[in-house]
Amino acid sequence: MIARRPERQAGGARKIYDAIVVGTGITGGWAAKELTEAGLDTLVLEAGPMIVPERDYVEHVPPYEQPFRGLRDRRRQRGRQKVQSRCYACDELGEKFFVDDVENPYTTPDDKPFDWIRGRQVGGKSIMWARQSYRLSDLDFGAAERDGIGIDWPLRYADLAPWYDHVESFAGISGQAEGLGQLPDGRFLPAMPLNCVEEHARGAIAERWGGERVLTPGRTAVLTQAHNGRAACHYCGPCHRGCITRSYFSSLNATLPAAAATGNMTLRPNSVVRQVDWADGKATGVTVIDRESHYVVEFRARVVIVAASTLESARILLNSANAEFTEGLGNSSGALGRYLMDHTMSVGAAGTFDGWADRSYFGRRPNGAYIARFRNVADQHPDFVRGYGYQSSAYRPDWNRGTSAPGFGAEFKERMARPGGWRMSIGAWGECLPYADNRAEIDPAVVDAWGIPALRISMHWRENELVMQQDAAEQAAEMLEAAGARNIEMRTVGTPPGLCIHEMGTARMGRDPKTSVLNGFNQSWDVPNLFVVDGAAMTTSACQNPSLTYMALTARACDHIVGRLKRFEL
Amino acid sequence: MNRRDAIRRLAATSALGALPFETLLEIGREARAATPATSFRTLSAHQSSTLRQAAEVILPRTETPGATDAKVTEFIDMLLTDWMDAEERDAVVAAIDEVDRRAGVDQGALFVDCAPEQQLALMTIMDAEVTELLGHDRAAPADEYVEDPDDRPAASAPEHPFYQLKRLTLLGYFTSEPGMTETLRWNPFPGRWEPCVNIGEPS
Repeated sequence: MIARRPERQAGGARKIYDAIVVGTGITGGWAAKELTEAGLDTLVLEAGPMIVPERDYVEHVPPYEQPFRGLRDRRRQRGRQKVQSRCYACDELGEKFFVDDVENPYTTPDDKPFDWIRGRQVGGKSIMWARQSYRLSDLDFGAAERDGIGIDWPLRYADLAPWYDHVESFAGISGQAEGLGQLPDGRFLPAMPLNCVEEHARGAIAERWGGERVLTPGRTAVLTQAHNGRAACHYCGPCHRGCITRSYFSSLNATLPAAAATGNMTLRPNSVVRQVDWADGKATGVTVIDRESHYVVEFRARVVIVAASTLESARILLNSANAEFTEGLGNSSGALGRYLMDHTMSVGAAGTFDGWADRSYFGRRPNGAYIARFRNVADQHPDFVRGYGYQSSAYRPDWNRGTSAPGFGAEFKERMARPGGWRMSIGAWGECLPYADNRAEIDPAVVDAWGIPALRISMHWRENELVMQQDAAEQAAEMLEAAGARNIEMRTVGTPPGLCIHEMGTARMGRDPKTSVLNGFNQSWDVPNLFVVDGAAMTTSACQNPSLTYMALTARACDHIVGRLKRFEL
Repeated sequence: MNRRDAIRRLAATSALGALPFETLLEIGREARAATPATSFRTLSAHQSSTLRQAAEVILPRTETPGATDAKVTEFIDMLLTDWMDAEERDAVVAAIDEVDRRAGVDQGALFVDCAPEQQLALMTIMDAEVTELLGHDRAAPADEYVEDPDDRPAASAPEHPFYQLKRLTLLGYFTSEPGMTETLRWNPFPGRWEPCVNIGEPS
């Protein structure tokens, strides 16, 4: 056992930072930027190693330079990344951005699979995220007030709108304004235009459903023009392996360089946070286990901001239980770890289109189309509450179609080098309600490679999610039919919870300390200088891809922290 | 002798420091070329010849490279050895042997000893069998109830030997450097998104 070593400044005095940020993913990066730009002396801790874009990004390695040509090192993944490999982005090159499942165990009940997809490196999952960026609206923030399910958000769209503006202006979101109440427009860079079949489908859907159903270019954190010193996208395709031109938003590409430029950031990779330390009613800092040496080091700060990702943040706080908070730090409500949500995914429909044989597209667009939520917007569906949105794209299949196509020989080879007939797929992302027993807790029997107790995660979809999915598949098929598609196939079985990687809600915000962990500024009700800014804070899941909302909430929370610190209130 | 051995040997003679880099590269090339082409790790020499000829019939050399140019057989042998489970591997090896068996029944010769038109005739028959199985699969997926069990074919398309060889040949070819750069004319840096371009001909 190695003795704990408090970090000391030259001369031996105990260093006290203004702030510690735990995590460098999409919210940790934002916290680092906002706090350092406000002049705070900020320690930013990351459990995983440093990522150097010039050395570690691998988006331009062609398939023929990969040993398995993109099929992945299956035997290695089965041994070390059994869970992570279920994510499409954990491919032959991208797998290094996902955790080793053997070093990072968690458990689930046998009948309740949960795929916990994790990235542990500087930049976190912001390296591999899918970049879709949508605002929530008062349809979401006011959902509980309207249907009585769950607790009310402690804020409304008007509170967050300026912060959406703020993060969009810096990150660069391409999209098209549509004037929809349920999917507010943002500060958009030019959209990535729809291709000809998507454009046709947009028109056909508008014709059939009027303004009720709108198909619009996906809103994505990928630059369509140079922005804040970052270059426009060059449409190479595999964004999840990095981007040497910094064209998509990530902590590595945008917020961490901005934080570093202030001179106020101390970035410490390889720092696995064991717990948040606490004394006399306040957080005093964190205890870190060095990833490589396993040395234990304590860091001290006036404010602690936890941004380790929804489940890791809950885990850290649960593991920070002390004599005062026996069930986890800041858990007087008992809500910590509970109300875990994700989005339902993968149900929908696909079909083929006969026309446009002489039309195709140029470039590998890292985006598609989006169909805004239309259920339970103006009226109430008899069978389920809340709603879903769709991601969609039309495309021409490549040579992979050849195995199921008749023929071989010279003519066949030339045909397979040309694009196949048009297909369009529409997939639904559905809201998940908050349930107290969809939860993560500490598994007393399992520890990770650093001896830190692991999580036991128990979650399953309930009736509202499943009934909604059935409707989403049927409506997708109906829209394809309205657009004139043929050979329409429905997919009604979705993925298990977790795999959408929109897990959220384990330290929810609320208006009442008895039922929520955080107040409307992501601040712990119980520990006033402790903040949780990642997906854990979400009160409801809505159906939109959530990262943009996490960013806006983080920037707003940081503004609150800076104001309080300046007034010596923390 | 691989490149590393070549360099190690040179280093042992203390000549390494004296040689220009270009010469070292040349030595590496010779060392690689000296590796016998038949060093397959799972396939026998005969199986590899059979697969090589079958793959070349599926994707022959035209103005663009063929399966042999793209080293499809070598790629499949690597998958058999380093990627597939034993069951998957055995099925592919059996598929290659089955091509030989069918050649014996239909043409009275090993596949590699068949004349090109005999090979073509056999593979045309096998491709038609796959097409028929695919039709059955689409009409009645294996897990679906059919009234008359005789309506269900004995095998579904993915189990057919020709399906397996065609799938692996396509994969090995269109992910190879010649297949991607010369046949697909794959562009690593498109540089722009054009949503609707005229490609000049109906497909």
